[in-house]
Amino acid sequence: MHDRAALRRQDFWTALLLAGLSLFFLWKTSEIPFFRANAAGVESGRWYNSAAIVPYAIFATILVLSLGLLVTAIRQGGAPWLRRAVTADAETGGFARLCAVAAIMLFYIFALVPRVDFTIASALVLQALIYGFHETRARATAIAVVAVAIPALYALAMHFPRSEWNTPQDDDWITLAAFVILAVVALVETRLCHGRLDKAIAIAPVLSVLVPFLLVIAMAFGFRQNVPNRTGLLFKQVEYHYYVTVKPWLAGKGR
Amino acid sequence: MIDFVVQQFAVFLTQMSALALDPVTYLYLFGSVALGIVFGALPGLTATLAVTILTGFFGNKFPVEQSLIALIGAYVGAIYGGSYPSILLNIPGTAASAASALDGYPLTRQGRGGEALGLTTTSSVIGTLIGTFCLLIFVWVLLAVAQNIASPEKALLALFGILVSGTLMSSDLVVKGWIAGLIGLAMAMVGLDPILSEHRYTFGWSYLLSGFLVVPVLMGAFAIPQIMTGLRTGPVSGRPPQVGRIVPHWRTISRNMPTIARSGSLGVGIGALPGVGEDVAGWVSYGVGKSFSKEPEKFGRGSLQGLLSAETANNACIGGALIPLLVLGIPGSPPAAALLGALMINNVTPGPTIDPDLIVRIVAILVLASLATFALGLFMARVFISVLKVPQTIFLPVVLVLTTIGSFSVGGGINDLFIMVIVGLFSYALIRMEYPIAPLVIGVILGGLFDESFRRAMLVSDGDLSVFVTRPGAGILLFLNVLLILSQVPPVRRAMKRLVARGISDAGASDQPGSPS
Repeated sequence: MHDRAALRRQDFWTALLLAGLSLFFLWKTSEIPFFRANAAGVESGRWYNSAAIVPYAIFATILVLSLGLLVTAIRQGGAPWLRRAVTADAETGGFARLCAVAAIMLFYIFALVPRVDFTIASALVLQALIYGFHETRARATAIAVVAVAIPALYALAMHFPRSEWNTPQDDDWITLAAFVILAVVALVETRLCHGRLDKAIAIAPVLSVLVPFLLVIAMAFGFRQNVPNRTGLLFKQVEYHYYVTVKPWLAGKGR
Repeated sequence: MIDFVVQQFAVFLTQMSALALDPVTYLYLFGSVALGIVFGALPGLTATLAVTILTGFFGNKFPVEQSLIALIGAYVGAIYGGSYPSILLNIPGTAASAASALDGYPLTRQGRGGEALGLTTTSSVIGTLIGTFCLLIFVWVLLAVAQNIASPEKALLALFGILVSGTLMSSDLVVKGWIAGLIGLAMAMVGLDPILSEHRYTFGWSYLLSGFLVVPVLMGAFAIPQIMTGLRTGPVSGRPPQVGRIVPHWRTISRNMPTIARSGSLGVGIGALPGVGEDVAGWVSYGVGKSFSKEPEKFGRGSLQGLLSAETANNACIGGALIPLLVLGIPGSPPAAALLGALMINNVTPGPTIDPDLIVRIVAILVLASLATFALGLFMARVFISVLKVPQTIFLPVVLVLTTIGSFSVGGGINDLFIMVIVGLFSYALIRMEYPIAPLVIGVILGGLFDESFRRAMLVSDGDLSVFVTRPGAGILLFLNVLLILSQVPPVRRAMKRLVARGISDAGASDQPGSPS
């Protein structure tokens, strides 16, 4: 996967990071009572009963092992030349694609899923990931990231507090518009680029809507599980018609 | 002994007939096995992911007996399904079937892809049945032993599980496996401590008071890195070749029966080791198969023995992996860890106090799942082969949506999703630096058990550490833990090598004519 020298260069920095983190958590552990504890009004002042004893052992061991890893990394030529390892990855374009996937994922989970209807948010992300990553074209990847970033940043900026996650639906409409525009752009841009339409890109809009829609219905009404954003633009209507139209109709049919 | 075995089979047949007479069983069974095969066949999707995603779907809203049919069905199906791309495209569907590609693909290039698939199906089913038989017998023996296990042994067993997993799953330095296991242990320390309810590392976030939930951690650790790696690479799919007759000839199976039996036993043994999964079983069995074979030169060039060694072992591993899970609550493999997560959210605590009926039911489900795999594998193979044409840039985004809704539904809502993504990005970084992820997950799962058992042992002994030495069981486990650690310390390894070399040369010298005997 990696050449050994590059791996050791990464190990060098990881070991330093791990040592730093273990020292930080050892310090945080010192905030947990060790020799004298008063939990729920009960004095329990023995070191071997302390909630800190196992964490102390864990972080001290991580510290020792990370120092061991540091020594190994240095012995095997891993101390200098870190920058070359990163640029080698960046040169292949793999690093940029990786950052794009991570960005779309973070926008989806931290901005869209909590605030936007699940079907609409997922349709946008599915469309973006299929279009942006099916071919290794930087332009398609960039368009996909921008298409997800705009509604995600809007949702974050306009409805950041938790109290606003479920009530207004303007972010739902903007996400829906972003999905439609991205679907059209994907079809046109791919055709202009290749002179023909790839099968995966052609089916992407239908797949992107159907998969989350069927999934959310199966989860909510089949598996009876909780689903994100029940007051979303689409799910609100589905839930209403399930209880007001479909269920009474099914009950009447069964009678 | 014979009476015991007969009695076990009588109970097993009762449970089996109860399951077989219920039509719902078949709905769950065939659906989940087919889904598992598809998951296994699609490169990048694993058995662990199949079980974890289904855990998210079933949650705790269904009776655990029904959920288990789906989860075990998906587990068995996915381990088997990994053989399709290995044999037909030389792309391992799962890590467990990586060894199968060495001989499976050359067989396909020789025009024997159908034969390879048919034999793989048969050996996988026999392997699963060997594992199931061992589970049925050994689980009771170990349960009887487990009655005498107290806190010191539990703590040392949990530590042993993390150490073994870290040691055997490391592809680079062993220290990386141990660090991954310790990071998992550290993650398990977050929240209220189990004895004094002290806050640990919650940073004022009330969600963290209950600690990390298993399902979001599993989904983050196993799904997110796969999605990122797959989309970074771009579309990978293949055009599978036409295959001929799939139903195998009985003569070929009977000729290879010794290989199947040996590999099955090995698979069970490796599966029973805590945290060591089907991939290790496949490779070890492949290596052993080569050393036992009369034609070792054919291995890697289309040897049926090579293919059967790997495939039988990785399926037999399933039964083996369930033994420590059910007896001690220590998962034998990453998919078993996902299964443990499902049991935990259904308030079933594996261990000496587990309901014996549930164990027999799991055995019955395993048998039915392997029979369903056999039927689907032989008669619907062409459908599963067509799945191989789907590029990963189509199914990996769908997996992201599946894991998102699955993780959300299990318990903590949106906070679980945040944890899933953070754990996923962190796991991806670790994987890129060749840290194994299985020990981290095993650490998260066993961390609570280790913390609680260790402190209880100390509490009972009034702070006397000798409790870990004076109890016979604890003493043996401590010795094994120390031995495992020392065996990986470079100076000790060098000393051991010198001793072994000296022993060999001494033995050689004593074999010389004229030397004293």
